[in-house]
Amino acid sequence: MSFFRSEEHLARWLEQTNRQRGAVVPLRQVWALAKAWYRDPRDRLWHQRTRDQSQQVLSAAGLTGDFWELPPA
Amino acid sequence: MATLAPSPEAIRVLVYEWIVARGMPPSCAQIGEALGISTREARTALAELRLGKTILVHPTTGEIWMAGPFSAAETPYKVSSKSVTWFANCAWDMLGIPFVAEEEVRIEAHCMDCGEPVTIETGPTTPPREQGFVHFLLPAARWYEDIGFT
Repeated sequence: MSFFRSEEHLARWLEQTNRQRGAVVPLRQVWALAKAWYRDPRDRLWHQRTRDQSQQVLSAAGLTGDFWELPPA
Repeated sequence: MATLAPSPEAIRVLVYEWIVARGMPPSCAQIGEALGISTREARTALAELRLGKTILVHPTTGEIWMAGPFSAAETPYKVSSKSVTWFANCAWDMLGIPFVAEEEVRIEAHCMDCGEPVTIETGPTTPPREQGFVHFLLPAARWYEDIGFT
């Protein structure tokens, strides 16, 4: 996952590197996703999320559709 | 006398406490010393952790390669609090570090296209004000095929 200053910069990079466009998410939305996704592993009650729980985190951050479908558990 | 293997929880907590405090993960030797086991036992215990993609070890050295969202090596995503500097694995992880470290941070990153540096101020309750985008090259179904590339 890479950072780009703008959609224009991304489009230029995709063309220059001959890569396909994936999904583009504004920085603030990725922050909201990170807030839901990352929990402190120093917490002894930390546990690994299930695949379905992770999918729910993505959906709650507004990331839905085929692109955001996690692999089967 | 055989040494009892440390629990996955003990290793996980040690690794993350170490990273949050120091910026980089502990070596196998340091894990061994901290948990009272040999370096070899620490390497084995790390390799046998069942934490999905949370802690990954380097395939040849057996040392910690990444402990999401932290990288064990310097990357283009530098995240600093008042006292510690960390490196994130990617542009998503750089925004995850303040939530794990529970700190306000200053992120120094670069546009993947033009290389222009950008500074992002953010924290657990402070969304970034800067403009910009994160490009997810691979669909979620392929994120774990090659986590280093992803």
